[in-house]
Amino acid sequence: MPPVIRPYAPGDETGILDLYRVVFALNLTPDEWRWYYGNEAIIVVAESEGRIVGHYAVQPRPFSVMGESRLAGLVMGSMVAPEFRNITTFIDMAKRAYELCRERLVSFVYAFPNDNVWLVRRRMLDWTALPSIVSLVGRPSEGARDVSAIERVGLEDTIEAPWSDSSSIRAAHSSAFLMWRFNERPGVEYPVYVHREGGRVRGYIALKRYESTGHIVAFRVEPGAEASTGALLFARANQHFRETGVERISMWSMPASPLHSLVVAGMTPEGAGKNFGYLAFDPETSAQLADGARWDIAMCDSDVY
Amino acid sequence: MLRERLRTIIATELEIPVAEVPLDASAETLQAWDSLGHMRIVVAIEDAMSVRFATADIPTLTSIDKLVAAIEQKS
Repeated sequence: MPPVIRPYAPGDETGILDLYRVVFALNLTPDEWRWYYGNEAIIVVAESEGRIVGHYAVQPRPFSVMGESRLAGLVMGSMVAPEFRNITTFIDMAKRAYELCRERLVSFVYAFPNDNVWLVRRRMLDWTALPSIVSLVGRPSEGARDVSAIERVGLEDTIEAPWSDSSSIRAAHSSAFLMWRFNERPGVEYPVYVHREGGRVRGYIALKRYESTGHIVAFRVEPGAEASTGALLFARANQHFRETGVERISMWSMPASPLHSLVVAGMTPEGAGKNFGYLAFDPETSAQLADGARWDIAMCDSDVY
Repeated sequence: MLRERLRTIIATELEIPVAEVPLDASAETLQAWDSLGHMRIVVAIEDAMSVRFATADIPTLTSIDKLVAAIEQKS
């Protein structure tokens, strides 16, 4: 009997966490699961004889598409138990999830899939490939710049950073998003630095350490403050990584980012890059998203970092 | 001839010796022919033979016999 494809129902968590262990060898805790999926995520499961054997999730993320507000969805946690692994189950789960996305007014979904899943998404589900995302890496630089104006913010701070950009496609990093992404994730520390002037936040940078690598997971400044606030924040991030013994820095920075020219000097592209692409739910949005040069995606816009 | 070409493509995509792919190979008889291997096989055949299978048919093309029939139908 093929598995039943259905939306998530309360009580599925135990089966989903079991599936994470089987497929990804990942012991996700209930708290971590709640952080990832909370009440917002669109989740479809495959069930066979009372057991969860498949999972396909979309995490809604507000975006700005050339200045227009759109609700996007990050596809994550796609998995099928080995004994039920066939293309049909995966595709049926994906299509059901996309139906639910449309009902929730999600305009498009995006993802960073591995090679195998990417092949299925492009050939069977009509996803569009964008240029792969290549990390920039470098060593923490010695800086002579005075970064005393930069402050590290605590868990109680709200960062108001409502800057828009009418030329790019990027996630809307609202204060609620920043709080959830960097302050509420169980067991993971994200040092966040801000530059304020007159009580107003002019820019922020969020960091994460993994082994001896320091990731710059988010970096934004007020328009026009790239050379001033941007340079100070970047210098402070380098200082943070030096002080904490980080050997290499890694970040995603796309040419559409206003900060790209600031960070690209001294950093080197590494590796073939991560697969990246989208599926839009209407032709107009699909056409808007097709220009890879307009995307401005940071590490925090994925579920990995 | 067609079966030989398919055999070679299947061996390449599944990363196994051609000698391990019989002329009547299928997903049932070849352990390496799993769902993701199947997608690699299908896409490689489409590229190599300039054919385009109907998306709905792809999950069913799980043997050399079925692939031959589908390709001959298109040619």
